[in-house]
Amino acid sequence: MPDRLGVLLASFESYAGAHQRLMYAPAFARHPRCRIVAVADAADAPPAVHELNRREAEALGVPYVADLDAALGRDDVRIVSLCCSLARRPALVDRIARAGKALLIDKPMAGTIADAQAACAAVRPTGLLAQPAQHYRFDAAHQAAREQVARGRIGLPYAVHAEFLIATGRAVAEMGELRNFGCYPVDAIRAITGCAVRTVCATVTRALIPEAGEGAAEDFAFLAMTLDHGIIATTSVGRTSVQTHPRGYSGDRTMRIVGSHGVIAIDAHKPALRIYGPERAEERSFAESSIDRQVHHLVRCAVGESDPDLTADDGLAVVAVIETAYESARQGRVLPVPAV
Amino acid sequence: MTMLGVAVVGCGGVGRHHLEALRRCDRARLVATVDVVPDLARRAAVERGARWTTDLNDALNWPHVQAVILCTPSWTHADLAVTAARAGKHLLVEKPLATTVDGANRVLEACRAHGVALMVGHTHRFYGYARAIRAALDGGAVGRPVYLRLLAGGGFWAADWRAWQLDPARSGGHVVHNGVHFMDLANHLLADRPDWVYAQGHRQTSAHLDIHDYFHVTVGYRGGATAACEMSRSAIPRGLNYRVLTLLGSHGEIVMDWDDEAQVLFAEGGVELLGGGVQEGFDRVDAAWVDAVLDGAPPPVTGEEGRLAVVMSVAAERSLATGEVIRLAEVDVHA
Repeated sequence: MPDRLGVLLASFESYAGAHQRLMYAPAFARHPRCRIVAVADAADAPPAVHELNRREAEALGVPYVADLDAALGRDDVRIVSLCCSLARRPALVDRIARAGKALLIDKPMAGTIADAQAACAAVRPTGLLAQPAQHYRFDAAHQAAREQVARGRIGLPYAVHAEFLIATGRAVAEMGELRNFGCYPVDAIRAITGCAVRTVCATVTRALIPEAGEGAAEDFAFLAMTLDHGIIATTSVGRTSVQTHPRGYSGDRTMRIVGSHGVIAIDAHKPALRIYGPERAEERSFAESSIDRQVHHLVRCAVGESDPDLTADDGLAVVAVIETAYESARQGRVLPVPAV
Repeated sequence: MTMLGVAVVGCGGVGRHHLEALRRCDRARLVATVDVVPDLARRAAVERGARWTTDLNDALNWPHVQAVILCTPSWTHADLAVTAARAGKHLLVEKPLATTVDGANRVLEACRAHGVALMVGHTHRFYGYARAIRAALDGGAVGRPVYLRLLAGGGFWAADWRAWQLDPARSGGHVVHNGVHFMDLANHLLADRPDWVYAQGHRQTSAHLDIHDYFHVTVGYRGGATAACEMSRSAIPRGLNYRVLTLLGSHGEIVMDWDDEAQVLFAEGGVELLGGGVQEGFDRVDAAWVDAVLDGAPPPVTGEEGRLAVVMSVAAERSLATGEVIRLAEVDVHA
């Protein structure tokens, strides 16, 4: 199938590897214009990571290349899906950028503003297509709402309020759920309004996953932000331990955009069916996967059919908001988001 | 004392709800009405066989007036409540207890000094939705509350735009006037001690408004809980008046969406929620207050709780003005 774009899966390391396994690799595998050609990682990756990568490659039926530079040298590799740990990410982004491959970077794009800036610095001069996996903005309901907002259907937006509460949790992401999930609603708010976040006031707490234990990171955060044009935006971000949620893991992912002439309410889980089975009730979504939609957009950009809606600079802007939110929660103050 | 003799002071908008609530209360009797507009006082009194006056001091000296429901415009609450307390009358004061922290403090002090019961009319606690949530929390349905989002999305004031409600000098501002409901409700549901507030707002309907007809207040609690309180008098469509609520607990979640009302009307003019209205809240507030006074029990919304809601609202108004987080201790030494 020579007309298909070759996809290289760069690493299955730790939590990012789970995203590769559960989200990105299946989306690329499903896409009719893509073909996963190999799994690879840097030669100096930890031995355990090499071993994990090898097993994943075997499961996918593709070769494992224990030398990222060699894999990047292959002509059939057009897109790289990067899912290494945050610590190794800036260096690998740089190597992939130098090789001129289109790039999907696991979220969050970076764990610090400096690392996000380094990633941007690597890709900007190359003009490379590089997208953080902030796929929530590609959700069909969000994109439809975004178009309506742009067309003035609700007049001028003046407030946006979002809930992003994943359910059925039993453990907390090591990096904290604000860093883990916060990029989704923050990026979607930026996309839907087309406005930058200027200030943030945040709270973080650990209270929703009783099993997580004393040393765990936060499982809940709340951000009150001000955007350009004085738009007020808030979002909850968290992972709850609710096992009975009728939407399962999907939980509550909603947004209200309040405008001078109307309101748009979005429920990313919908459209959905309510199914009352003999043992349990369920709200089964039949919305198109936002990951599939991002991958499709990435592919179209890679072949020149579309301009990128999302760039590494968006990833940097979001990391700046999230890291400032942590600082705001620490200081108990409203903080300006630094210009990046 | 088997029947409580009540004077209703202020017989306009909210006063009418209290007059109706008293009609339905079998342990209280309307014995007097007071309003600076004679017609309002007279009409409310005559149909119930009560006396009426335009001067509160007259009514406080009449026999059978044992208690006062104070539902005059907000800026008068503190002085009138102090006057009634000094006359030894038990008090139900409409929200806000006062428009300033000093005013609230004076009311509490007067009530303490004269041994009268004080309750604040925070009706939201008494609406069906809040009672159902409180019962679910008390039953341990979702564990310890951690996060509460409240939205009341209403359209622009139907009353005269020059009315006192839109004048911050008399209402205290929109957060003090209406947001105080959510401040109290959040405290009631989260059962945590508020520590700070951060408010954001817009003069949405017109840049010439003196108050923020749209606002959002984030409340941080000492125990780690967060409340997000959004209230609007700028919503389009104007008549929808919808309510949205999310409450996360340590072990579960409570959600009430806008269309969880029992009746939704779809018509040419758009969507309208045909909820039961606000009277149920007044009925329960007044009945609970009458019971507390007659039985010598603590009222279900204490003066201290009403004072705390004022402190939070005043702090939120300051936050709106400064754009900063305001700790309650900055506006109240007792916080």
